[in-house]
Amino acid sequence: MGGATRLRMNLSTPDRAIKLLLVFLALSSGLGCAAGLAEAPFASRPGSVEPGDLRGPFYGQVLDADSSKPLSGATVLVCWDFVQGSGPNGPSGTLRRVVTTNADGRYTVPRVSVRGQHGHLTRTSLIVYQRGYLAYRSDRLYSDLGPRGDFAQTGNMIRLERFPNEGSHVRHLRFIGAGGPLAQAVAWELQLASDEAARLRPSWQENETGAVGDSRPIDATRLLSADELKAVTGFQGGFTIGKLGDRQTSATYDSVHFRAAGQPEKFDAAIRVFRDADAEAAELRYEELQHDYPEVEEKDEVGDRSLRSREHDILGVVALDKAHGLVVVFTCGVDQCHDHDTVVGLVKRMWPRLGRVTAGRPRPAAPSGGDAEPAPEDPPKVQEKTQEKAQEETP
Amino acid sequence: MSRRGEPVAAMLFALVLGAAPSARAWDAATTHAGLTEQAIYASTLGRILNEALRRPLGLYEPLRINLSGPRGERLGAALGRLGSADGYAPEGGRLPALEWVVAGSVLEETPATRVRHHFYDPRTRGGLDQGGFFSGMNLRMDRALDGSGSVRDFLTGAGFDGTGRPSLTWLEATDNDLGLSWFYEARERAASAVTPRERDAALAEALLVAGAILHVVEDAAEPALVRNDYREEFARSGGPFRRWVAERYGRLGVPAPAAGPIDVTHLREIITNEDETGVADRTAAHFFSLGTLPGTTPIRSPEVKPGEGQRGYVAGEGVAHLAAWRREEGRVVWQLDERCYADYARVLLPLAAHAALSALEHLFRGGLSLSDGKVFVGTEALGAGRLSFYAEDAMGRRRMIGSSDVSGAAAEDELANEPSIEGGAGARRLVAVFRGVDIEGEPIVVSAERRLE
Repeated sequence: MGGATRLRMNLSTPDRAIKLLLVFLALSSGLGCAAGLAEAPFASRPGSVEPGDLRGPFYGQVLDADSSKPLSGATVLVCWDFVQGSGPNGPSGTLRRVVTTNADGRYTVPRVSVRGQHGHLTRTSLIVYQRGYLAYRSDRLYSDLGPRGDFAQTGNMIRLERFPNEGSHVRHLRFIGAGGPLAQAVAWELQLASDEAARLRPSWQENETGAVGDSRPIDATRLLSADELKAVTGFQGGFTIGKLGDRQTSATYDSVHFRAAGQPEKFDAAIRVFRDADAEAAELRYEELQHDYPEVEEKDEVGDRSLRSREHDILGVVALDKAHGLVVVFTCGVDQCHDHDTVVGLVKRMWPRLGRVTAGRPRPAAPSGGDAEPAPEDPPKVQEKTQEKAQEETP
Repeated sequence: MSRRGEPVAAMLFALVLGAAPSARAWDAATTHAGLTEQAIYASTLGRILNEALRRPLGLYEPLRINLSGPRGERLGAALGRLGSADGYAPEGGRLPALEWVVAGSVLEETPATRVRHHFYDPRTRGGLDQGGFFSGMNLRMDRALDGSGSVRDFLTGAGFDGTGRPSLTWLEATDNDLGLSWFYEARERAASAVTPRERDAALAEALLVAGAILHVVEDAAEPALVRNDYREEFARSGGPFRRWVAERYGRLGVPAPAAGPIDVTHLREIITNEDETGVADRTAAHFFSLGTLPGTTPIRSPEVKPGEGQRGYVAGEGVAHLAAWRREEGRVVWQLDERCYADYARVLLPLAAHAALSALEHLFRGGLSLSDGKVFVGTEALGAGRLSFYAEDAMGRRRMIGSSDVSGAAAEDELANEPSIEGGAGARRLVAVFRGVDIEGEPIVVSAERRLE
């Protein structure tokens, strides 16, 4: 800078002067391209409070969730994503490594070098994919798409669940992404997802209010707890509580899946709740289910109308609540509920609580392992308040 | 603590650690990717791809992109930087159709400085205006230091300086590689290009650009971008609301639109309109950003007052925690905390997804049909434009067989007669492509095709 025209730069503030010095140091030393490293959101090993290292290495084992046998040949993808910018930021590069599990179901992914990468390494994701199983992500759960809190850098144990017979390929491909490094592995699901998508109706088509932002998700978890289910059926084992994979929670639908730990599907139970705009629409849905479900016997034992259904080892009861515009579907394996009378008894227990499913925010599904209550990382609950009451709340 | 309790406590701690957001581990691209995905799943795009554009797998149809020239190099380089954990980074230039839209949504902020053109303040109808050469110097220094800008940009003043074009202008800018004009151009080529491979590449490009447009529309639901707040929200504070949303929701936790798409005359009305019901209008009027809290800005809305006592919250439209306040040395200090962010996200994310859905439906609105030797208009009345016909042979190659200006027609009405096709030409399909404006003067491209007997 020189010449007749002098640029007046205000260097009176210390921070600006320091920044200017740093810029020229960066220019002279060529340090501007070094990749920074963010703190890992996962632990170094299970049970540890020490954070892991985004760069790796990563060690773990993949098992079949039902049999606990090692799964060999499963695809393990690790992605290291870099961003640049300290306010709004954008992608600045990615590295990835694909390995397969060995005969013991174990995987090893070496530590990555970030030398020469632009931006900061802010995210490392590990995805496990094996045809016939629900995929695994280190950052999110498949059950409710919520954050996963139990991934560890080393010693990680992954239990892959079998892909359900009526599982959603649309949801599965959304979970792992339909393209990218796993594109070839998931190619067989594309046609299935396409067929399924053609049959799906968007959730907004079922919400006749058409209002934006005022339709809260309904919460089926309020109808029955795992403890109550066990008290009625006498089941001694534990449940992993999650969502069914067919539809997402919305203003018109929610589900709860009581998955018996270490047991086959005949020990599971599930609740589905559909909410329609009015009694007439709800009754129409009830009748559609009556038409579609197998071995139906209408008994009118619960609510305004109810029916019993059975398919192989799964018992079902469908009940209509006109007052709330709800249709409740409860399915239970024969090794859990034994007979239809038990299933009907459980639905009768849920019935007085139907008004609660549309009140407040849903609780997220618990992480795997026992009949766990909602995870502590759930966003703070928002209560209905008048402005006056809100001012009394302490930040 | 018992021997049994210790590891349990550590595991709980680890669970909290695993779920707690790192102060530096933000990833803004996940939110936009999630919003765009939700808009796609709620839209009729799959049916349009399957029926109107004859892609058997609809949303999941694999498409290979082919970008050429300097623009192609820029976009190719940007695509190469996309993260690969969520399925929208191309492999060998290929992605399923819906992932091209998602990729475009992430690409719109690659590099990050493109966000300078995503601001729209409904009060001033202007874009970002917090800089200029000298007062923007700090910002250029910051960009040089964090690597998103260059030292050369800092020295020459060419870099981001705290100003930008209004988002509505940016969408139509000719120097925007992902602007509206590119969408319509690619959409036309998706029906008119000679070979199937070229048509696939054009369709991929159209979907990519559509995703980028959706990103700009989604940004109208972010308070800082509609209240002219870059300095405080992003430069000084690092975008805490964006980070909070990205960490809490990721890509997969973003909610679906709760309502169906709104029908607009012009795309910009989704963002802002005379009735002040656009996304930007509503967000700017009812939400705060860090730099526009009460007492920090001449912006009056939303009007709030602190209560009695030492601290508390004020509520707003649809939110119990609009802003937190406390009394300190005789003055009131306002802030936004996690309770506020949770409430804001609960309302604004569905709003953004709904806006994206509306924009996607608007871009792919309308259609044509061919029957009884005539071309009929679909659900969207057409204005003036160019109607072109193509004959497709057994190898899928298309050649133009006629083209003329038309004055338009009402919805479902006859637009023109089909041309006659010379015998022995080997044509297996007839294709009609209209490029012009709709009855309201808004650009539109629609096409139809049928098998020839």
